Amino acid sequence: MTTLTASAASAVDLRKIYGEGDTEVRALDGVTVDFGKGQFTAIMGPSGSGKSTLMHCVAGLDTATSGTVHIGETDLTLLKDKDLTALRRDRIGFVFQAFNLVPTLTALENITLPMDIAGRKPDQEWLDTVIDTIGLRDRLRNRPSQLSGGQQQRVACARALANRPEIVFADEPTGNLDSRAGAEVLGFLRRSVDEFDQTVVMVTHDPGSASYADRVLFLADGKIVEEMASPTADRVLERMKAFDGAGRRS
Amino acid sequence: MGKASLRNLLAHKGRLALSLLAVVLSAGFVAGTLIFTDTLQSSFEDLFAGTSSDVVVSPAETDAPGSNGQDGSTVATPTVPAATLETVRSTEGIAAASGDVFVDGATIIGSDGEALLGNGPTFGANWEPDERLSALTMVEGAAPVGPGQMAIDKKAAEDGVLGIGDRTSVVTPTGVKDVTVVGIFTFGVNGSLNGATIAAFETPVAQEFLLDGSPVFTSISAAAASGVTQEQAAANVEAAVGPDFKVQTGTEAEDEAAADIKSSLAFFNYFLLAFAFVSVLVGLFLIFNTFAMIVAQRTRELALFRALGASRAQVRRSVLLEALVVGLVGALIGILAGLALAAALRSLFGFIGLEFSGTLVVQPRTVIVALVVGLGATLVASWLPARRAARVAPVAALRDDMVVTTKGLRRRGIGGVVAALISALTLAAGLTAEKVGTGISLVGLSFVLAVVALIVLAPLIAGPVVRVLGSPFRGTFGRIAVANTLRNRRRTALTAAALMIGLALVGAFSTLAISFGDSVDAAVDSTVEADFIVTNANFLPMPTEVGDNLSAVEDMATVSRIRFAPVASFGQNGNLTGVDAATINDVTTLSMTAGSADLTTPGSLLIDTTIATNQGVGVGDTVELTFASGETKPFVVTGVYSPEGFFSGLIISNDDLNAVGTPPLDTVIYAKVSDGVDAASVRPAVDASVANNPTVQVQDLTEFKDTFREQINGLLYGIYLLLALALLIAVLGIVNTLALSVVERTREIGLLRAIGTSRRQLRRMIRIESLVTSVFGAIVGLLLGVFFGQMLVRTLADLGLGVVSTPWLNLVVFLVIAAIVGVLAAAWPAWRASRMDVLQAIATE
Repeated sequence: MTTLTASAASAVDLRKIYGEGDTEVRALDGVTVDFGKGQFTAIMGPSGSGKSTLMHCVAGLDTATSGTVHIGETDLTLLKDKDLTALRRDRIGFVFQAFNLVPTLTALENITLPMDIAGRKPDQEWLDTVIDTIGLRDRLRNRPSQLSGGQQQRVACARALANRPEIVFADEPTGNLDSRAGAEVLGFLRRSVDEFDQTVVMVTHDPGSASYADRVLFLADGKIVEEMASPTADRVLERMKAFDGAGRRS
Repeated sequence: MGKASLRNLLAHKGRLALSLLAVVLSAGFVAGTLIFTDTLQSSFEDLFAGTSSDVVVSPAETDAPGSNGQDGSTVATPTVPAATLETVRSTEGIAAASGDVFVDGATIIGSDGEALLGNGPTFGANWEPDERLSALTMVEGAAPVGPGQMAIDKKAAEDGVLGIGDRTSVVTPTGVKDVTVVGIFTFGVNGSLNGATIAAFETPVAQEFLLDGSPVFTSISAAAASGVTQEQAAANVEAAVGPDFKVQTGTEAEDEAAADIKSSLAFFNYFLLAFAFVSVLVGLFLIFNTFAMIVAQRTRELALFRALGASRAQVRRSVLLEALVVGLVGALIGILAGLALAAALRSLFGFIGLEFSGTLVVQPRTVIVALVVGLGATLVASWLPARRAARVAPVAALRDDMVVTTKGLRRRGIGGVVAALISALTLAAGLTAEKVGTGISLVGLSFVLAVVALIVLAPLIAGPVVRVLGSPFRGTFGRIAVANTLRNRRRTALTAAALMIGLALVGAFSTLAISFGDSVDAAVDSTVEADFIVTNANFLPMPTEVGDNLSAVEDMATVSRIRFAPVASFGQNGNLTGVDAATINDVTTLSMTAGSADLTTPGSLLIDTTIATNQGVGVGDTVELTFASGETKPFVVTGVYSPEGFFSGLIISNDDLNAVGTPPLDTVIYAKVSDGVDAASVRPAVDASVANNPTVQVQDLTEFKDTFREQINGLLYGIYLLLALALLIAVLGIVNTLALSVVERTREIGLLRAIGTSRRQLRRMIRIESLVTSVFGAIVGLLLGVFFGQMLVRTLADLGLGVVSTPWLNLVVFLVIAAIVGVLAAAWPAWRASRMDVLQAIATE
């Protein structure tokens, strides 16, 4: 494990418990994890393993029952909703599985949305770089409904990066896409790590997607059960087969 | 499916509450208006129930002008002589009879020295102890005896804080009398004559105070002997008194009195019905909008049913069953809410001076209309989208991004333009119509058509208007809010429509009121040159002593009296104006188009240009006038003037009026001080000269104009009050629409929150959406209303409404109110949106 200062985000002994007594469900059961700067991490696991919950807790979308979460040096567990909102706006980028864009705004407006919310001017040079990387310069004035699913996800990725966040969380970003569009999106996330030194954390159930990452964390029953560096699709698939109910979406 | 739809109903409690609220409000609003209207009507109809004796004998109605005596003009009260009373008493089948004195114009002075003008006539009567013959029932004290005693009705006693033994005075046609209150009575079954007051005296005293002192009566009441029917008794009396008198059974007399009241309330009823109509319309919008949205939201769920093998008919039935339950429950609760609303309206009206008694009337018609509106609208409102939902291919509907189609806008555009064209044509016809009545009706019709056109076209207008309105909101959230407003234009338009209708009426009435006030100001400024205008309460005629006392004031140069008397001319009954020929031209200015305004030669007549044109008469022509006394005299036209201000129609001199036996009572007195004297310095002496006539008021021109304006405004506020309720429904419509659209956009809101939108920003976004919608409705409605208000004023120009004004201040005030209302309406939906759980919102299907 790397030291705290070199990590973009970290969690220590994270627990998330739903219900009580007989109906108690431990979605997270003592997870300690560290996401290094400039690293592309994939979180995998069968349905109900807690991978989405982990991401939500680390990204400040959900609060854990116990344990601590840090983004950079900020302790999320000490923050109120207002500060959490500002943190998500200024320091985190998000890509969701679907419904990533505000339908009433154009592609460009969606990309600059986090800055607009903050009332900041976007860094034009960086914005151009990001837009050129996703390759949708000619579709910027279009509304989401006029874009294909793959194009929509690329716009979402651009939005996630446009603010130069410390860390990008992607929740099954290719879940709704065909393999070609999915490959484009994953390729873009990979490039953002390689070329812009971006930190990316991605939840996925697809071994192919996971192979784009620098390392893969496997979750089962709310615990990290294995970590794999430099994954390939075959190795990941091999490992996944070991879990019951593999292949089901979580 | 039945079980599924009922379960569905209960599963979505928020949605259920909103749709139920829509139905309850609409049905309640409609029921409330109808109950209020019926209650008002029946209160006035019941007013006279049981107030007449078995047989009523009154002076025969003649063809002479003014025989109905109800137009406020000066005319000797028609009477029945005492001998006739004896005849009736001795008629077979009559057990008892008495002479009645019942005259308008006996104003009681309250304990604070202020006249009890109430909100209606101030009656004077004789006290008749026999309850078979009188509508009055003594509840406290004793019958009045002699000129120093008076009994008053209970309402007057309460309002004037007068009790048994209190000394006060009463203003009668023959002067002010000092009296002691000795008795308190009630009238009829309702206890009071709604707003009117009654002062009762011993019969000879009543004859002296209220009539000219001779032993005559205004009518005779008789009770039938036991075993004799009203009809039989009336027939006997009719045979005995002869053709000079009108003989009615008690029932006939009561019906006639009620019919008179009913016709004088007709205008008010039309207004309330129009209001009920507006309420039905607004209610329909609310229900329709709510259900259309709810079904649209359920489209995917319904498609799932379809995919699982439910037939179209089953899907439709499921939606309709849900609507049936909500509609029925909502309509029933709505009727109860309507009762509460009607009661509130009644106390509100009592508060602004229009009191009426009796219990709330719920007619079967009210229940039926409320059910039709509540249940019917709910069924129709869910039927259309349900049919659409059933038609959608199951797979298409299950897709993630269901887009609501906005087709049919073109057909809508054509329909709206056609309605607008018809409205324009009707307006043109109305403005050029010969008769004022036809003109008003046509312009009114055009107004209704324009509102219809506007509602149809609103989704098309919404785009440009909302974009302009939203342009000040520059930030991202302003953009999103404006875009959201335009996302479903039909819904935005329907939501704004309720506000539109309400504010169109507000705009029209404001324009009418302001124009009327400005016209009166202009008329006073251009025609009146006096320093003071003296009038009596309710414009009752004043005894001549008022004018005499004014003349005696030091530095008073001119006192000129204006009278009104019934007359028949050119084959029609009407009123003419009597003026002091010697002084009238010192205190007023008539703009003459021909001849001169000189009436000093007896038998001279002035006519206005309308009469000159319509009747084809001019200066030098002779016109025959028939007076209330039945006397017909020739008059020579000496001048033609343009009608303006308070002068229109026929004008003759007061000397000529006196010559035909018109009672010497003045309706308006103009007074002017000597040249070089400050009117204000004379004011105390002028006030002192009328001090012993408590109902007479002296006003300078500014006060006179202000009083007029206050009266107009009082009426206007009453109308605002009614429309405020329509606006309330409109506001709840906005709340409903916003709340549902927040639910609809759950995922979008979740996304915005996830990527860092603060709760405040989210609330602001929804507030802007609401603000833009309500201001859109307000602007369009107000503009339309002001335009048609001005058109109405134009058609009324012949009636002396010469000034067309724009109520700028009112417009600004109402726009600000609409904006505030918009912001308030957003409060709850915005709060809900900002409290939404981010994770759940994102995960929502």
